[in-house]
Amino acid sequence: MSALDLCEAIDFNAQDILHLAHQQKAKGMRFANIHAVKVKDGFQLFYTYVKPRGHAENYRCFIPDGQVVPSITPIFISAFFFENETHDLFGVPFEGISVDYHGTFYQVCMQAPMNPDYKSSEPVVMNPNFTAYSASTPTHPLEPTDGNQKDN
Amino acid sequence: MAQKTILPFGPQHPVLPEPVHFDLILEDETVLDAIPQIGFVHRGLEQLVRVRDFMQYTFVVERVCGICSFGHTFGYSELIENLLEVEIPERAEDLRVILHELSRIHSHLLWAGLAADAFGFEALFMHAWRLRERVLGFFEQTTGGRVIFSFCQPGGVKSDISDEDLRGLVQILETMTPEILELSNAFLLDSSVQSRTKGIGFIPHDAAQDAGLVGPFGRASGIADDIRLLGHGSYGKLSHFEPVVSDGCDCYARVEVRIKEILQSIEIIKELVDKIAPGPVLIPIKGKPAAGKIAFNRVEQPRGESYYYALGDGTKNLERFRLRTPTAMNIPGMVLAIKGCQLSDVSMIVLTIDPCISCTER
Repeated sequence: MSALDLCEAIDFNAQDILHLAHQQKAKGMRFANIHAVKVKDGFQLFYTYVKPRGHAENYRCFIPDGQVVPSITPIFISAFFFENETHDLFGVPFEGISVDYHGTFYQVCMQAPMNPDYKSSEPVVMNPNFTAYSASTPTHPLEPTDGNQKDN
Repeated sequence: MAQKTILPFGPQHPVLPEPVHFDLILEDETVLDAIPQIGFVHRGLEQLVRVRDFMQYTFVVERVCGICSFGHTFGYSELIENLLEVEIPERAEDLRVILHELSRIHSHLLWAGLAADAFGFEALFMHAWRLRERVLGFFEQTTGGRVIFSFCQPGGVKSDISDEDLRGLVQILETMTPEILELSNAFLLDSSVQSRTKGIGFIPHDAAQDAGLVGPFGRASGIADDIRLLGHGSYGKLSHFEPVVSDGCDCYARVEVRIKEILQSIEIIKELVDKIAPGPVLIPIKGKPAAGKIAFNRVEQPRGESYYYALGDGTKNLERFRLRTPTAMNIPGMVLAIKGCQLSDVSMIVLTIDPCISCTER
């Protein structure tokens, strides 16, 4: 069997997410991945760090539904992709993401499509004025022009 | 006094092969900052694993990327074999690595063509893609497909490639080598190419390490990391392997690393064709992944490290599948490279990073 890395994850407490990230940074490990798995009443969050020219270490913690997760982007900037993605696809709230897209990272037509238990605090509606620019770009309601009114 | 402007760049742009958008914050022609936006082509492929069983899903994972199609089936098949604790025949591992390295050659040649097209060097573009056609021709001759060829699957590879065909492949590569060297001369020595690439998109080694860059993008900033070093699959049979690294840290270094990697892949293929083991190439896969069992895998794709994760649920479907492509790691680096450059260089910088946005969004 050609297993490259150990096919097991090291369990840790969710309160230690930042501590673990600091520890890995100090060890010279490279951040490689975050992903969520939906389980009963919450999520498993996997954090993967890779030793340069070496093997990967996978860490797993349990996050109850609704719990806010601290962002590791102040320690590993490349985590912003994964934290925004996990928020948009699973509805896991992150706090302190250095580049936070506030739910507009993926242009999907429903909230948390990979989380069947997701309950939005607000009704899900498609925003008719949605513009596909980044979070920093101010969006303005589209004013119908005379030309549009004639077409209608 | 210089005025700050926000310029939207992409997602549709003549030099962008894939949809990525940047808000470029400019002061005159200098880019002060860039805010990336992806998410235009999210396809929900990870979620499809609940609909397709783990064997059918091989065809889905192959379609994550049109260039790394073989690499993804390679990574996924190894992942399922890890999950089911299956040993595959040695010849199948050899053939997988040979085809994976061929895919790297075709990916880098495709990228070289796109880069030449962006320079406005049309003859070089056609020359690169003409060479790539020979690799695609070999795929078609032996597997029936040119880009999506469904050759790799859990348990091995679908069919054998005869030793005669493999010797033919070595001949093809030997005739290609002098032409690739000519191509390399054009890319590395031509003054017009150098004027667009040297000293542009500079990312020093420390910044590259902090941003976690992978693949040729990271290796062009002196990060000597490559999963092939760990010798998984048939990479362990190679007499020597050391990743191609450059300390140039600019667009030119990225061109240099990719061109040299083409030549390195040719040597790997030749060595493995010499050492290829006889025997079967496929074993039947029996059983289902146990509920709660997890597996991980990583593969060095042409663009860098891909990461795979699977969770079994006791049925023929997986509970969860995760694929993280190299571009996901390289997006922060792309922003770093763009910061401080001139507006006219943005397209060149993005191109030399070789982003694959559709695969990143899956």
